Amino acid sequence: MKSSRRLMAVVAVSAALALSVPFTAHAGHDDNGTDPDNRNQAVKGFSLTTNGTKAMNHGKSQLERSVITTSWGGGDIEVYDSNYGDNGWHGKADCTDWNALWTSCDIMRVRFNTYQYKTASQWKSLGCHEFGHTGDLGHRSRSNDTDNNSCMRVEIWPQYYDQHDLNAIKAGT
Amino acid sequence: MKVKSGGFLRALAAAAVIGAVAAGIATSSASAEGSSSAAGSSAHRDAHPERVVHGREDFSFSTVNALVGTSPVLVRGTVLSAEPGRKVGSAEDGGIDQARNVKLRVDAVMKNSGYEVPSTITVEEWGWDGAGNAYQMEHLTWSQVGDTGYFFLDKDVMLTTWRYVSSQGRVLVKDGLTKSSADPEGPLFPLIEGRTNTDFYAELKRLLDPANAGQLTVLPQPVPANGDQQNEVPDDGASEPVPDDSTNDGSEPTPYPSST
Repeated sequence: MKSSRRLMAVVAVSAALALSVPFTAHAGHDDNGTDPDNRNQAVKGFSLTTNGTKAMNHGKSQLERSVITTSWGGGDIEVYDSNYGDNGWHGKADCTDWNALWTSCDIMRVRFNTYQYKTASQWKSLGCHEFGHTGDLGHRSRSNDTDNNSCMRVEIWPQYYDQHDLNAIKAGT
Repeated sequence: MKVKSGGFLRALAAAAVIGAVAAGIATSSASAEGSSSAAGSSAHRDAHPERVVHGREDFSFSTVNALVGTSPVLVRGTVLSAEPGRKVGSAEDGGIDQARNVKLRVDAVMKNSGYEVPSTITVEEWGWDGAGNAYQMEHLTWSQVGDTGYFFLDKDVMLTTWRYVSSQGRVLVKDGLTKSSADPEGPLFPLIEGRTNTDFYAELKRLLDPANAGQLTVLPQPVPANGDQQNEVPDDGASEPVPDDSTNDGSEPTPYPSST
């Protein structure tokens, strides 16, 4: 038993060291979302409201400004919306199908909550934001987005990725 | 999605998988909180969150003042138990989620905004997906039995469920020091993390002092959309310029070399 435990530890440490090398270069908020499995992402919406469709379309178009190319279809980014209720969130993104090593995601899920009232431009911002998470982006704050033009902010509603976001997607995917 | 705030955690997660395979062992997710998948006794349910769900919440706080001012309820409490809670959602809505019911012993009610706060309350954390995969919301790790600290709470509009005012709404006290559930890279985290309990408590008491009434920041509450607004809102005509190629905005330098 001792030898097998030692073997497991050696393999684990070796793998950690080996796998950490390719991911060491990243800036502040990239590498904080979900790493897609490639730079060609098919997008599919499921019975979306008009608001959800607009958000999805805008998010997709914003990803197109980055190194990620998009198309319509299933298998990569799946988009849902519903009245999920008074649960404290407008939208969220997660991975429903990781690769074997859990280093990148095959299928991302985006969900928009229709419970809270949002203006049309806020819906677009939300689409940009959640799709940003699928491009491995994390959140921005006032201190690192002083010109207030990144949709990855969480207290205001800009509609686009700024250049730092686009650079971060390039670095993180 | 795995818990990952960077490449190192991702590598550790991958290493754990490789290590497990190499050693020829099968991991088990059963626990007092999860349930066994053996012999079809009941559904699989992870014992620990291995994924993070990211998103945009109703509130994002950048000051302790706003966190205190916007939270309807603030209690100091201790976690007594945690167990699976209600299930919400459907396949048509993107999947089923199951809450995690965290039972708190309320040691002190510091703010109640008119809510009745009994001596024990159940706070919802998240949770599990429909396949039993455990996840956490943003940086809010799962509360553990025995955890003690400050819980910034709200109730849903139906007044049935206690929940955190946001994923930033928990400040645990470990060895006399505060541990924030806020994003470590966000503005709130450094205002809370690592302070002595005495110091943080004093700030809360000062903010809640009736003599300072009117000094608290209260963020706008979300407004429920009516049926039509849930489906479609009219174009508001708001436009803004597409950002240029400037990165002179306080952000870190262009992140090169790329990881790819």
